[in-house]
Amino acid sequence: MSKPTDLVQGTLDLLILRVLALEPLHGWAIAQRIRQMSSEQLRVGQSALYPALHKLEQQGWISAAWALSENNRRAKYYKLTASGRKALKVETAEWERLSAAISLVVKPI
Amino acid sequence: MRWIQKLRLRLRSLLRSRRVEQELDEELQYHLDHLVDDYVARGMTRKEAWYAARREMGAIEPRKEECRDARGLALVDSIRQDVTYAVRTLRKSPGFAGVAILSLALGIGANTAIFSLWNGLLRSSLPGVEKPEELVMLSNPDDSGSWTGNLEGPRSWLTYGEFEQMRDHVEGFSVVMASQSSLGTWQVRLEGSDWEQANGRFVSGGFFQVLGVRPAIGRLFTPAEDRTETPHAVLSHSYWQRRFGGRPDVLGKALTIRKVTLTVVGVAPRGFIGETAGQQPDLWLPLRMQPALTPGRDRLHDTPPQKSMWLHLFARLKPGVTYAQAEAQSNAVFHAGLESFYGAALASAERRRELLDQRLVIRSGARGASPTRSEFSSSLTALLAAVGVLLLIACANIANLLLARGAARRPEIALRMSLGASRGRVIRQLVTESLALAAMGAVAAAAVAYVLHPVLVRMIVESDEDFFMTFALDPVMLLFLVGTTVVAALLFGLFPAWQVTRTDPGASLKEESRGAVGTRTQTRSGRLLVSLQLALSLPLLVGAGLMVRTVYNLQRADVGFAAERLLLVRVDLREPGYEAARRESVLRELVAEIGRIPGVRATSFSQLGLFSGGDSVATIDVEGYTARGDDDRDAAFDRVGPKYFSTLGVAVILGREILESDRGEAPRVCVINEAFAQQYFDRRNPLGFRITLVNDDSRESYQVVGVARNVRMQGLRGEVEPRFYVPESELSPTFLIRTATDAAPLMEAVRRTIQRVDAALPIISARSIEEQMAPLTAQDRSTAQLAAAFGGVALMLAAIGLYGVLSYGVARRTAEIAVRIALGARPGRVTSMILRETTSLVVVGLAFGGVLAYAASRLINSRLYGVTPQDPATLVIATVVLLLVALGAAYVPAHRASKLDPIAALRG
Repeated sequence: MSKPTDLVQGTLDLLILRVLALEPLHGWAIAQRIRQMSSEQLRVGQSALYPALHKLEQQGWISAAWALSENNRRAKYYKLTASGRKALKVETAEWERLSAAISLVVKPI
Repeated sequence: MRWIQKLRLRLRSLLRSRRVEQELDEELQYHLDHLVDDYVARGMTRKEAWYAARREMGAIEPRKEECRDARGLALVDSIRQDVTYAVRTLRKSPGFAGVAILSLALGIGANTAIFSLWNGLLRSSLPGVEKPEELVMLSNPDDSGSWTGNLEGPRSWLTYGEFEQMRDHVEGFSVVMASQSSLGTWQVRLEGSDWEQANGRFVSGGFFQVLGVRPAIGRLFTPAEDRTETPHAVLSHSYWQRRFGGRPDVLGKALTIRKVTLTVVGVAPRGFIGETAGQQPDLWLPLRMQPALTPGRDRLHDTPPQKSMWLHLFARLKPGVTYAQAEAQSNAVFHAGLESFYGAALASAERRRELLDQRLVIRSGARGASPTRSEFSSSLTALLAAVGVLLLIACANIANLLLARGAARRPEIALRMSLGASRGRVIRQLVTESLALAAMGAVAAAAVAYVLHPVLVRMIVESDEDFFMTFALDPVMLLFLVGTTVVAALLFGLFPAWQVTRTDPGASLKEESRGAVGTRTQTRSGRLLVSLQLALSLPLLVGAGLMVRTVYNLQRADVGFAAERLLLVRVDLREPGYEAARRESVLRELVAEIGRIPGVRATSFSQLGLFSGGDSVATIDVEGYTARGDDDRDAAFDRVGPKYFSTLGVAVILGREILESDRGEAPRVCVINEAFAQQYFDRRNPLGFRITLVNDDSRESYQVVGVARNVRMQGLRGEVEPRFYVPESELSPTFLIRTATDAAPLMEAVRRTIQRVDAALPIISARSIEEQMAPLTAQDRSTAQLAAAFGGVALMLAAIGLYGVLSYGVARRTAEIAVRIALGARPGRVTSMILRETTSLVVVGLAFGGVLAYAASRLINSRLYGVTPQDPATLVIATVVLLLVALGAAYVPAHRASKLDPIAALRG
């Protein structure tokens, strides 16, 4: 299991933004969605997830609201804000540039 | 508008923190429940699933902390938490908190009180004055008032004529006013009551306008008061309250000074004291009334080349006018004035250069004029340094208490650190506790300062009755209070916090279980702090000792006469308007009548009296002596009555004193003092030689008939200046009345006798020699008292510190000592073992203290009298006192250790 803390700094933020770009989700669902989307490769533990969510909310990239979840319990749903959408674009571009650069270095042996 | 959103979130987390906390809990709980469900779905039992989920979640508290951090409110939030926690902890140990707050209250309070004095004297603006920062001053505030002034370079004081030129001809000033530089003392009679004393100052018509004040009632002076003699007076608010109970019918009341009746036209606003900080006049009088109110000396009209420089000048600049422009303009006017004033005297180029070498300097008048400023600042600076050291000692003491407390709280701190609190976080918590403690101390300190301030003012300025100052917590003071508090908190809080959190929490928890408390390093830090306290206390004790010796020496200073059983009574013979011949006979009658009062041994009189503050200097030629320049021709003198020297009890070592037969038409004679004989006659016998008083148009020669011992009549410090005494009847003589027993009870009889001779004779002052001389040492006495008080408090704090550290040390070593006793060590040996260990700490402290005291002694050098700053006796005594107190403080825990019951101790 890859721990998110091992991820490049800021990657978790990108993953969260990406996941939330599809629909508003609560914390648990965000973690599940990341797991599914990465074909079980990335597991995000709550230890990193929630501080990241609170930080993103404070930054104004996502906003939170309480709503009833699929199992009829109150859950905190996060959704992307307009500035979050912009940030996602910038971060995605940045990530692609970075990963391409890393691939260039790592690939040829 | 992202920042609004951010702000909203931040405020929400701040103001509705409980709600936010709940939501955080709920959110994490939701996550946990899902995780459990997940494990159940994979086939675990509910219980297994719960444990697995908890394991996977890991520690929840640090995550919550991280979420809070992410919200960016960690700081505000945790500070609030820390403060709550701090207050709770402090409340749980009221003894510790009480001692700490008390020592802080004393330390910070003393600092604040002294600083407020210093601030008031050196910095504060003038109360009640409008926009003081826009005031400019043409006179120099740092010199005290003088009647003659300096005729070279920048001017300190101006004449009335010069004031008129500035007022009427300088374009750049919108308004100009003048005020008498020294505060006068007047005998005043209010309608329907007796003569009484009041402080008053001559001011020009624009005085109140320039300072921008409005009357409390009635009206203030206007430019009309500058045009003609107007017998008006304006009262200060405090005089109005004190003397007239604030009744509005004071307006139009008559007020008599000498023979002149003035009408009260108005009262100045509350708090207003005028242009001179630290002086509180009771009344203001129009400048134009000066010749009428002080007959015999017209200071409004000068006869060239004599000038009477006695005025302060304040002005306001017109908008847009700079200091430089105003200065150039006023100097142009000033020099044109000098040209016409000296006129023909400027004919020779040399004389011209000499006379015209005068100029005006424009200064900011924001702080007003304050003669007290330079007088008191040196001793205040020394006191400020002393209270600063006192605060340091108090801080060291609290740091020590905190160290000991930290040792006791070690398990708690270790627990918090092992639960995930970082060291920085714990240090922050501990420092917050210190800050909370200091803040409580500061509140108490403000109260202490408030109580201490008037006492200090009284003590410091006993010598100056005009002095007036209130305690105000203005922004500067507040800044000082807060600043001192924070610095103090960091001083005493940071080191123990760093120290206490230094060890490995695991080790600490284990150590606790073995029953030992604290570590060697902690004890070492405590000992270091105590050494520091002792080192800091020594200079304070030495300073106090030096001041006490100074006062002792001053009070026993040889003034040349017996300073007891002596009355000084000054009357004004000009007042009843006697002819010259009648004056002479009234004076004789007064001397004779006073001499007849039972209990009076002898009576004489002199022009200057003793320690009156006034002096006379004359230009002289001494027969057979070649002067080395103009300065060498100036000597102090006094005009004295018959038997002046025998009345005072001054030994005449050569020749005779001045007698009744020397008055009137007899040949002119004089008596010189030893200093005069030494300077002008060297080894010659001065008797028979002539001293010639040189005036511009006349020369009067006096033959020396006697040499008297030196008499101090100005101050107690410094050399006695050469002086000669000539016989003369005086216009306002001071009677010197030698009595057989205590003089004070005879004062009333003397007053009655004078009134019997002529009821209209005004008594200007009446004092015993003790009263007259008390102000000379007042400042030294109060400084000594304060220094002794500070020294005492320092000693007490150091003793508490030492006692604390040793008690703690003994408690820590209970087991070791018990084993020693069980193995046969005698109680005496245990005691001496503890005392021996104390010695090193005390010796190190005292050695450093000695060095500090030596270095600091220069600070009070100027205030010392008859003792050197490095006086070995004082140093030794202070050291011994400190040593004894230290041993006393050490003995209690040492004795306690020797009385230890080994069985109980080892079992426990």
